[in-house]
Amino acid sequence: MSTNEEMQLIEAVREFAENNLNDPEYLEKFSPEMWEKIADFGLLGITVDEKYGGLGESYRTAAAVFENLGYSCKNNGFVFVVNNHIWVSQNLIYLYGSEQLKDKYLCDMTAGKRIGAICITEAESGSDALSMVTRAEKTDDGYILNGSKAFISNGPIADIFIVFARTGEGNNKSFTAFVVEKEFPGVKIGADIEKMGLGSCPTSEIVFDNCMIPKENVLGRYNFGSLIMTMALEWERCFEFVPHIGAMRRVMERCIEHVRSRQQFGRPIGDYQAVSHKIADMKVGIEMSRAMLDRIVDLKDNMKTAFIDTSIFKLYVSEAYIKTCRDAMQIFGGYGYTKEYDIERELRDALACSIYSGTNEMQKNTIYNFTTNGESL
Amino acid sequence: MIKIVVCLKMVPGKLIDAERSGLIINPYDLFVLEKLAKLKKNTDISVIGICMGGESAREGLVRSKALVCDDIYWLNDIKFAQADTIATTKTLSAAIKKYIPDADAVICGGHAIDGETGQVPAELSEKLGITYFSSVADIESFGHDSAVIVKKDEGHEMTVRCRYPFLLSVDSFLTYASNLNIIALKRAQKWEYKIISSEELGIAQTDCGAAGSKTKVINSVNIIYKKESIEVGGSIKEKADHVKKLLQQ
Amino acid sequence: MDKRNIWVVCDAFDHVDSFIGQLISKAYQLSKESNGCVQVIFLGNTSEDELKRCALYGADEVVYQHCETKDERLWLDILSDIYSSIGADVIMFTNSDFSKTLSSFFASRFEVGLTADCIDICFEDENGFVFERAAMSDSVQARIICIDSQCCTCTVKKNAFVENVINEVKELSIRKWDYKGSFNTDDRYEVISCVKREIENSADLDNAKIVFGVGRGVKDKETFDLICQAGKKYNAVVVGTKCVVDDGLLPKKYQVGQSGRSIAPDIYIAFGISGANQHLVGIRNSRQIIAVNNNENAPIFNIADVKIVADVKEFIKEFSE
Repeated sequence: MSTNEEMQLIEAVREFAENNLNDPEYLEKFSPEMWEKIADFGLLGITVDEKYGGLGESYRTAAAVFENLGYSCKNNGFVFVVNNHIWVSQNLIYLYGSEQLKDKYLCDMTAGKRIGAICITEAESGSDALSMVTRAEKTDDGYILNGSKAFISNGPIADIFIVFARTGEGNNKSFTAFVVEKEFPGVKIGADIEKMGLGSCPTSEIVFDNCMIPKENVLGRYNFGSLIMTMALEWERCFEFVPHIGAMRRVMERCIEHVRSRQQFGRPIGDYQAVSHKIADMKVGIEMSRAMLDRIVDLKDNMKTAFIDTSIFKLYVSEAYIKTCRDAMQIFGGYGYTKEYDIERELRDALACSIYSGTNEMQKNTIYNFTTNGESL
Repeated sequence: MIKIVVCLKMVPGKLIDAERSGLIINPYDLFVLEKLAKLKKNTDISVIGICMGGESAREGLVRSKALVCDDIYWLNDIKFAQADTIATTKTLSAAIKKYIPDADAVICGGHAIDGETGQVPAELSEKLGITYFSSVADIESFGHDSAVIVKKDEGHEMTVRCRYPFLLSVDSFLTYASNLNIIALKRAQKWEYKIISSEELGIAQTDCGAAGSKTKVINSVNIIYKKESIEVGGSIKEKADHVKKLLQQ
Repeated sequence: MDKRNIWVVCDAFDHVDSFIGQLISKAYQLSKESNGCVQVIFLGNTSEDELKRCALYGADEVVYQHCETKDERLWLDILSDIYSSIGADVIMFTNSDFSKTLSSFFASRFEVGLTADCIDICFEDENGFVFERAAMSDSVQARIICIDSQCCTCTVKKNAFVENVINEVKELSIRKWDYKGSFNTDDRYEVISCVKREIENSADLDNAKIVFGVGRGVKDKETFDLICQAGKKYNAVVVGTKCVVDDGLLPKKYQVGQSGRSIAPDIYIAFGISGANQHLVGIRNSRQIIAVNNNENAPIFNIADVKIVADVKEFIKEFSE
């Protein structure tokens, strides 16, 4: 895609977001109409092949689009819903599913008719994901799934769940990824959990009670769910965080406007270094994030692994994003603390990112292990 | 299949958004495109866009194609440039008569925000010899031999059934088209846009562009009054009082 | 040489209104400068006494065609008939919607120059008749002549000229025209319903004479409420830009500039509107635009008639006293 064409695409996405996704009534409440609009707009299948209703774009273009989506759409929770649907549900089926699974689900997902979610975390296994207890037993026609998953983003609105369950026999700790439809018998969706932020992304517990899964709904290979999980984490660490770069830009711009007009002691507060340096930090955060993203999309467009790069990216972006919002509140002072100015919502939304997609502490473990295992730097 | 021709003009983006460069679809034409996109979902209509413009019109044409146009005739030739409304009318009518002589409806935005004469639609209807409806606020439906429109003028709102063929001048505008879909946008970017020169159109030199114009701007002067804003000085109270006085008048 | 025929086409149907009076006055002035003859083309239904009033403004002749209907196509045919017979050098129309259509039809049929919304016309020896109009997007006035054109036509902006009763006593000849063509009611369309447009409480933007616009610079509810209060006092409708609607301060139907509505009140006061967005498309046609903004370089000042650089909050406090 030429730069001109990419610019046109981004322009269209920006316009779309500004005009459709910023409804003040739904900033912290999921809007099915908004979902329908973004589905009709055609954004959901951005990297999926045209034959499944997608746009067939590169990851580089997708990253540019999503950064701008994060910038123009101040409904961070909604962007989170979209990301969860695309990168760790729809795209997993696209990249790792059998032809049968792709034919069965992809077109509906790129058209937004069915919403996706991923189920890894359980009440007792967050960071220690591999200690999960949800189990799938093999039967003649398929599998029976038993267990429950916690804090599932998109849970209450999803139709398709990518569920990871233990399938190894005896001491074998293997697990498998399954594609589970909401309509399969035994799927129970919990109540919406009220959170600190990201209110427009419904979250709940999902319980599987003797849930019957057909044979063909194994995603990837049986007992090789770890491969799928590794890939899922990689995609999540990258693309969940791309819009945050846009959000940082948006918050920074608001700060710049504020420090130019707000005066104290006879001068705009932007004249004071205690304030201006915070904005400089925001800019550094944005540019460094972009530089890393550039490397990652290059790797992904060339079908290479970016496991450690995305871990570093996630760690860095989440810290920069939270710092940006925290500093923004400080810059806006009393006004920042009020609901009216919306800065407090940006901070509440941002705080989750050091937790999801693998806590920042876990990222550091991953990075340390990688660095000290003699892999080339 | 009902054939509808839409006349498109690209205008400077700056006119609606100071930060925008390049050309955009005239907001009155955009309203028409958006309306037709909605109606196309459950009516068998074919939308053909016609635009007089140079290379800078391409982006707007891509959008028009992405929004709803099945086909586009791009009248792009230096000989078409600097046309007044008479020359524009003659060029557009020649194109319509040549390429879509069986058009059921021709729809134009009421005026372009960079020229504001609003004359072309009526002139065009006269050249094409079809019924003219001005001040159209909305288009409700297209039937097999007629369409239903809403006309608003001087204190009345009329719903009218119009038999084909006719020409509409639409007075509603949109600055954002919600029906745009990026998959369609991408396809529109890949599409081959037919560029039609004056030779291809078969129009005489004296019928188009500056040569075919019946009016000419001989010079421009800066307006000494109006739009040179009077800055009100003084204290806030004085400024407020000034405005109160203006309102009293 | 033959006198130049300067036409004024009257569209008031049953009387000579002040708009026509303005045009005839101008035509009279031009006739003196260009050795012209002022002819008023009156289509409609009125008395001879009413027609005689044209003489007050300087008309030399009235060509009267009795007509039962006010229809652009019928009038086009009648006008064409008269034009083909006696000719004209200049034809002035009012800029009513009706005359805009009629003049466009005429100009297209005869392929003559048409200048829209003239604010002045003069006669110059080198250039002939020169028509002036404001070029919409710039603060310039364009001067236009007709080239290669059998006659020059134009629509004139209301109040561009002044109604002026002349000093001399004029001999007015009244010529009754006998149009022989037929007029068939157009069966190409059918009015399904016709409703008088109601004024939806105070929210009919099209009829509002005073409108207050609220933009991003109105940062808090308190300021917004003060503006609304002031609005009530002056019977103004309060509208907003897209940002303001997005922030939940106003419902979507009061959004101006995003779609559909183009308002033209007598006075439009923009509070805290930067002018750097689509809002301008909707308000351009306001008679007088007053802008209040604390940024002296705000783009809105490019189209404002009255520029007030002030903090909106402080201004509205003073304004509401």
